[in-house]
Amino acid sequence: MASKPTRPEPGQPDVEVIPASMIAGAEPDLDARDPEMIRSVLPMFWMIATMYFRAEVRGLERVPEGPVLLVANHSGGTMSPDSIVTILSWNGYFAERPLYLLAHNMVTGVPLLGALAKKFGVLTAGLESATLAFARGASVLVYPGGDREVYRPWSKRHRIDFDGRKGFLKLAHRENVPIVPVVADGGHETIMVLSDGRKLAKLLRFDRIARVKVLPVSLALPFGLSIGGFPPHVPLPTKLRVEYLDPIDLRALFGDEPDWDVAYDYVTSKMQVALSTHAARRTLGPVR
Amino acid sequence: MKAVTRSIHVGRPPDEVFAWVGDLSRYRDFFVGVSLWEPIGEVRNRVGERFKILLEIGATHTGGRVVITERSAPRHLAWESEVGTRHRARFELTPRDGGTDVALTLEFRLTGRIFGRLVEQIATPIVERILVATLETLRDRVEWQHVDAV
Repeated sequence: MASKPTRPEPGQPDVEVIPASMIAGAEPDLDARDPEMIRSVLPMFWMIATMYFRAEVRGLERVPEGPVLLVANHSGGTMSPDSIVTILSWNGYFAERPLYLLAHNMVTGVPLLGALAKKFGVLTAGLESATLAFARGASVLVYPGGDREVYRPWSKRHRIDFDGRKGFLKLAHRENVPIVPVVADGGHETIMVLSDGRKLAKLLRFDRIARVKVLPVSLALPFGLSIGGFPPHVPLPTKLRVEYLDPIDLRALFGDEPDWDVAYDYVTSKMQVALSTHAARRTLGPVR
Repeated sequence: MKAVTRSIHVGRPPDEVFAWVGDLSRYRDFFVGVSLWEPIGEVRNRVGERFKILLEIGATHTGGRVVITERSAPRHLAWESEVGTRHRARFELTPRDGGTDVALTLEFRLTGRIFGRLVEQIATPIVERILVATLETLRDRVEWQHVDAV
């Protein structure tokens, strides 16, 4: 069963409803995406994915024509190696289908890093950004678990944890695009997260100041202890498995007025089965 | 024998869960890693029926011939090996909160003295993950079959 969802705390806005235009430097700029630049880094991504992570990708043939919402689990802390494999696999397979990625404004709003991210097609997470991308006929990749899932404790590395966030469902339903779940296994073996530090982040008011709800404590190479993602780490060379699952048409399955809790449980159930099945193929921890 | 048990809560009553667990023609649909589940004779879902089974673990497929030793609807189903890798498997269903707690136990014993015990230790976490994946798949099939049929 997927992790039990929790609702946003009273007084805390659901991040998906904050217009990106309200966040300095994080306005959605779809024209910033640079296909030439993306193509130029794909060989490097291929080398990292193939030689370092021995990545296997399945299921791209299941992706239907037209715009889709890729819904993926998020692992491995700030380095998030499965993102590299997902970006590589999509752009390699669908040379002429643009993909935009929704990310935290901690990525898009930072000088230099934000500008580089935008060249990759990264947009500040929000309904506004995704709607603009779909209107152009593009597809969108979202990590509903976001900062919470990417720093879930190591003991939960084989669990889907979207923390009850359902904005992606409402987006796909409203825009009438199919959801394609993308499940990655192995990313959370590249770093050992001891604690997600939610209480510490709340105590220091990071959740209100920077919309950061976790302050993780991790063990990672080469510096050993890492707090809040600093110092940066080098991911362990874990074997990665990424699978694109069968598309989910919310309107066909749940009608015009879905019970969002039921739809959430359905999508996370399919993803949990895939993640657990991939985990069962793992024979030697981070190695295979 | 080395014994591994994992459990899960399924949000459906025991008779709906047993419709899967007790149906010996459905195991390839939810038992993760099973590469062969072939009845020896007609499947009538009764004690004493025999199957050839193989389970993919690491680099190999392992198994042999098993016999169904217990089937009491809607609570238990078990089998044990007659030929091949020595093992026993048992599903136990317990009603709880309108749903069902499903426990799956796999006991196994490998040949060889030092390496047999060593490989049992190495294989245990792999078996644990196979049981977890099997129970997650079973839960998904039972809870969402009405939606998947749409």
